[in-house]
Amino acid sequence: MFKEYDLKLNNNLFELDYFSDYSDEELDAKIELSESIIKECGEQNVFDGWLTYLENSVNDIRKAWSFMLWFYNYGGHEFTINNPYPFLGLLFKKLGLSFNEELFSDDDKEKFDTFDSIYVSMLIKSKIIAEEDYSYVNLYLDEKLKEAYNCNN
Amino acid sequence: MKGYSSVYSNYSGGGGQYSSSPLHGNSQHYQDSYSVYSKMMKKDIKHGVYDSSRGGYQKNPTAQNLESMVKGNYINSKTFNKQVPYVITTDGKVIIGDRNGNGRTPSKTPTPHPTLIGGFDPKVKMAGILDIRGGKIYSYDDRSGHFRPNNKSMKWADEAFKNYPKHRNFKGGK
Repeated sequence: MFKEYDLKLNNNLFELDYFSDYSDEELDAKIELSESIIKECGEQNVFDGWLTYLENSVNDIRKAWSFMLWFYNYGGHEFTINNPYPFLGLLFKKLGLSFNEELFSDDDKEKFDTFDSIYVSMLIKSKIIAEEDYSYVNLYLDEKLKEAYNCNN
Repeated sequence: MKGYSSVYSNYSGGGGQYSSSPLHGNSQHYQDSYSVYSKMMKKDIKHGVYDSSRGGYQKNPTAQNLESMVKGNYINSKTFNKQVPYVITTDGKVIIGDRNGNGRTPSKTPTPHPTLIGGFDPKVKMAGILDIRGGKIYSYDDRSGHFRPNNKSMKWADEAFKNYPKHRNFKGGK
């Protein structure tokens, strides 16, 4: 039986700007904390708690990018989640990425690449796509992602 | 792929015969080097990833030697966080590149593992996905639907990655 996720933990995990200077010890402590929380609360509970943080506390592109990098470092992309689409649509939106753009700035490219890794990994883990289709899936064609993105307009 | 065929770029084959995951149960027999699994090449021909009149597999424009990306204690930088396809060439080099190296929009031809080398019959000692967190290697595996390397070939990955910056929770080959 997993413990309930305490939303106060979100501040410890995500408030520090990923791009700021911090020591390896600080980084290690955060990763250690995330591991123990995942073990105690289970992936789905933790994921739901992190989604709440994304919904309520991430209000600009820079913060969304920082959140995404922490999320990736904590292994969120490897979670097996019932329905990852609401999270993916909201994150794509908060990162300031768009389905209508092909021209990216360097920042957008970097953001997109991490997002794309999260996207394809979560779809595989959740068994929405097969592993062997890793190279062929394209998020621009994913109507469910677009739907989730548009829900947040 | 069951019921979500619209997400495929230039591709409508879906999961095909080996759609069940993981791939481990469908690996090739152990060999010193692996060519592309024949059924995957057929799909690639159908979908323009392989064209015999244009040199076979076109090379992924983002393909690069992993060694050239090491900067001090990081691969690229601490903001480098992504999963990337990798291959180990027959001479032991690690090549990585974006999974959508030709561009992100659906009209662009996908760039699966064989395009990291290119040509008519690309051969690898090992292929899979590399997970880089905070600019350090977190894990690598043998997931390549195209080469389907035998898990016994993981030793080549262990050898090839041994001197690269490692994440504090480095998982090794999995």
